[in-house]
Amino acid sequence: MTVKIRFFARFRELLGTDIVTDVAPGTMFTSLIISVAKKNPEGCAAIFDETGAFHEFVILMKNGKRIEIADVAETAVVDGDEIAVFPPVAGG
Amino acid sequence: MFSEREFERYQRQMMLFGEEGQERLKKAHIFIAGAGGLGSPVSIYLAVAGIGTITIVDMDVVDGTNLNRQILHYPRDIGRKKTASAEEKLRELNPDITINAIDMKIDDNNAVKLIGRAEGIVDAMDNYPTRYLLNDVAIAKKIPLFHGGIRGFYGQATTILPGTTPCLKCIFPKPPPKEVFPVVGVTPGIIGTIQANEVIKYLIGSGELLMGRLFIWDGLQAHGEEICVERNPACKACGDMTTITTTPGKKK
Amino acid sequence: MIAIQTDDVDIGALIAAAKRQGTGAIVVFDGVVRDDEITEMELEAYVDVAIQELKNIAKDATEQFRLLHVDIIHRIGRLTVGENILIIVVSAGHRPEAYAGSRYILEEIKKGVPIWKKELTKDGGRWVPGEHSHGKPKTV
Repeated sequence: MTVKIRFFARFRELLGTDIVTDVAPGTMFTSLIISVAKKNPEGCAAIFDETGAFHEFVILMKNGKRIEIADVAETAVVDGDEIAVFPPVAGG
Repeated sequence: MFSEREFERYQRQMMLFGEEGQERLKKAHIFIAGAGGLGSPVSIYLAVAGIGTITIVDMDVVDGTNLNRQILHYPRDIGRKKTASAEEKLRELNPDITINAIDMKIDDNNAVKLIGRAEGIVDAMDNYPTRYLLNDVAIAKKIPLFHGGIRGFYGQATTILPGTTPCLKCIFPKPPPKEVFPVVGVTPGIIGTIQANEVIKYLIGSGELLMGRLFIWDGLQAHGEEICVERNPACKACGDMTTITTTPGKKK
Repeated sequence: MIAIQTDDVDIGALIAAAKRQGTGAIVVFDGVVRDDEITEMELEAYVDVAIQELKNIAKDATEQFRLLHVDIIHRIGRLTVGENILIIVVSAGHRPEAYAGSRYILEEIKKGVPIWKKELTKDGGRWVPGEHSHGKPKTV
């Protein structure tokens, strides 16, 4: 199945965006992102902590709906999903 | 009531929203938290648009490293309090409005009174703890919070109407890590101007505000897009607010 | 008279001066330092902005409630229990406007004028959070 991953801001800088990728059915959200992010260690570290969990401040969306970090462990992806991973920016 | 000078100054925008709209801007009191990268364009554009009272608060001193983006401040202002510099420039830009420039650190003890009777808060801060504080005060006073943030070539903006839209904590429950952030002036220029645009629209009651929409700007791609954001019913900040139907811009 | 000052005022004199042509009612609010286990209170203001806001509030109240005269005197500095903190004198044609105008002025001042109170107890000081504040008083 095919899913699209969009990164924003710093994550985009490090990992690109509009990444269309083939995944096996039953792939979980977290492992999908890890598999894409690990291509760039800096990108991976920006999104995940040492235990492989998403940093608390990362905003996750699937098809326009927010996925809470607490719920992401049970979230799988399906064919045609559009995933967004976004860091809030703090500067001003 | 406008002077001849004011009629002349606002002539081209009164073509858009009339004397009535301009009157709404004149009667308004807006609080701007920060006179830096975002605070500069926001305050400049609100001043020239004729917002009647602008209260701008900052605790910093102008530094050489500010000059690539904080366009309120000039080389000759280095070492000077940002509020003093801001007050001087904003008053010169528009002598017909009131500028309150307050040299203070915004904190728990003073925020409510500093914001005072202002009818809207512009978040031009550079850190989340203070942003969350502004969020709390906006919720308590039931006034809009015009949020903006930047990093490098990227920016975000949204307009928060407490009780109606998600609040800042709904959207960003946890802050990103603190850092000395990279920034090129055009980024806060763009985001700050968007925030000022939102303030004006709110006050005149026109157009569509960035309500429940997080505007995301990618300056490298010259691309803007939106993420829809929703209230979190369990939000620690606004969770127990019942929905308030506010019609932005409609004065009492 | 609209003022922020350390000195007290002669309220009697203000009342006399508030009688204008058409005055039918004068309402006086006198906020006093209460003896809530505190010994003294310290008040601080961002004066330039606070004085302007007091004037704006007086003007708004005058327009809204058709007041004939308004005095607002807010004291700052160190005050002991029993001392006057805030005096509002309002004169109007009739009592509904006088009462309503006085109340409006007080609520607006509490809402939005940059004047802060610190209560000094035997254990040290604590800032008093505003009415709408989420802040908790802390021992300084």
